[in-house]
Amino acid sequence: MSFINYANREINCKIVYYGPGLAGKTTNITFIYDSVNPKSKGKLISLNTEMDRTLFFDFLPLDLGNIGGFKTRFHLYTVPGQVFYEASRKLILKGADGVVFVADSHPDRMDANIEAMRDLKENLKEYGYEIEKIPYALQLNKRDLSPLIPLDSLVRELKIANEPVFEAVATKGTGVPETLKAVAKQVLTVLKQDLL
Amino acid sequence: MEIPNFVLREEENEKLIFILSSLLSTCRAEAVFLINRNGQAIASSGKSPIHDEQALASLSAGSVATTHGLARILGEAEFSSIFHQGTRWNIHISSVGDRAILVLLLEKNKGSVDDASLRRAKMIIEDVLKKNWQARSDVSAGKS
Repeated sequence: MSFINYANREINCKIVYYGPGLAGKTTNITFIYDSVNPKSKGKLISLNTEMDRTLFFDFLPLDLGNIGGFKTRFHLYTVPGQVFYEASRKLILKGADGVVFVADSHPDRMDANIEAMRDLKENLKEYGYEIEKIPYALQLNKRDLSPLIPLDSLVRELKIANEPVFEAVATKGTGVPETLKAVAKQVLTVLKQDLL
Repeated sequence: MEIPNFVLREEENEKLIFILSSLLSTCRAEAVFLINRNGQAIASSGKSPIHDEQALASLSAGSVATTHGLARILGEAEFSSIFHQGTRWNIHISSVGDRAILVLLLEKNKGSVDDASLRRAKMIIEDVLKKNWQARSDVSAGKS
């Protein structure tokens, strides 16, 4: 649910990075934050818990242009990945316009990936969303690991429909901007249909 | 997507700012913010010492959601307001219906919450937002 403000000609959209604990959601967000022009971004807010961090910030991407004379401001959030923070995950997901699922490529994390995906689908459903219908991208992170889950296994287990899939090494920024751009593009397409 | 976007028109924004400004003056607050439950800043009035209103909005929405969770544990429908006291600043956060949140930033020993004005402001804001939501839902229903 985007917030379209005619008074300041701005559209606010929320993109949530979802996935199992320590899959690299925070690394994605911090990489993007560091790459954005300081003049067009807000503060990076970090809410620390014992095991994990929830991060968010908002920014005006200069290269995405205007929609019908409106500037678009993206609000990027991570959810805490650990299983026991379910209430927080659900809360952060509320009002999301787009979702990125960050999967961990380590063989020991396959079950955690599948559980987080199930959790995402259920939580979206509770808010009246269907994952097949919302702007969505799948990121397969930590592709520099050894051992590594083969690409086709991850895709087979986690790919839902025709969503864009990106291999990433978030610590180096590889695949990070591409993932965000893919989901942002889908969000903007939905908005254009709604606005124009 | 099934859930309609929240669209704020200029005339609605003007109405909201007028209500917030009036509340700002009766409570002698430094700033008043109206935000939605998803953590997005809708409108504000006053001179805020906070440079990042989006951060304030997101954190306030989180705070309201957490308090709502606490209320449910105790069997309460909700705790309608939260008051944080600091050495220089106080923050009063309260729900406006089920879609918005009003945040008053008060300088200690200067501003205070005027209950009657707050109640009146919330009623008018709720009415504006309800009409807005209804209009948007009608548009969405017409589309589908």
